[in-house]
Amino acid sequence: MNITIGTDIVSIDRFFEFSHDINHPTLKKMFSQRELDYCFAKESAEPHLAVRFAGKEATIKALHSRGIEDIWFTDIEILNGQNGVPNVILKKEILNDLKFKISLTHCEDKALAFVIVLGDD
Amino acid sequence: MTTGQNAVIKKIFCEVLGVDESEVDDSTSYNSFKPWDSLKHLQLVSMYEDEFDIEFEMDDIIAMENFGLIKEIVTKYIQEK
Repeated sequence: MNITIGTDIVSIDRFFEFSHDINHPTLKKMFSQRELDYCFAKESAEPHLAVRFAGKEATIKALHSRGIEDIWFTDIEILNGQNGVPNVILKKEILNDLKFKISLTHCEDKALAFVIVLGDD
Repeated sequence: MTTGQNAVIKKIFCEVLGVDESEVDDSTSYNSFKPWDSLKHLQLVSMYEDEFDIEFEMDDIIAMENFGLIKEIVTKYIQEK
């Protein structure tokens, strides 16, 4: 079993300029419609956007650590399950054998994500 | 690649990154220029797409590793329109 990890932290205020327009072109470069619908259903979208961005960065770092570099933000979806636990969904079939564990958190001004990738590759 | 296009490409680059044009040349690199991080990179991509009515392939977005490459790639898409 090969285990790699990735982590990322981002300032929430960097998302203020996007958080009033669900159709902002920059958001469309990072997030799926399902992710945007989730974030914009909240009272304030920016911490939810920021923590998902950090989650995608952390996922990319964990994949880079195992030599997988052909991956982009829109290849990764981070959605909460019914129990509220976030899950990483990869849109590339070649990565279907990998398992992802992700933890997201944020405080007043920062959002942080930690990702573990497990697989026999 | 026209002088006018290059000027617009540089103006957008500097506005998004919040830097002066004198700080940027073709060798300005994603890996070594502190204001240029992944979130700014995505903003740059969407600003160029909006300004020039183009849509980049993922491989080209990743290939924009310095300002010279940004100019080359943006110009290629403008010419192919």
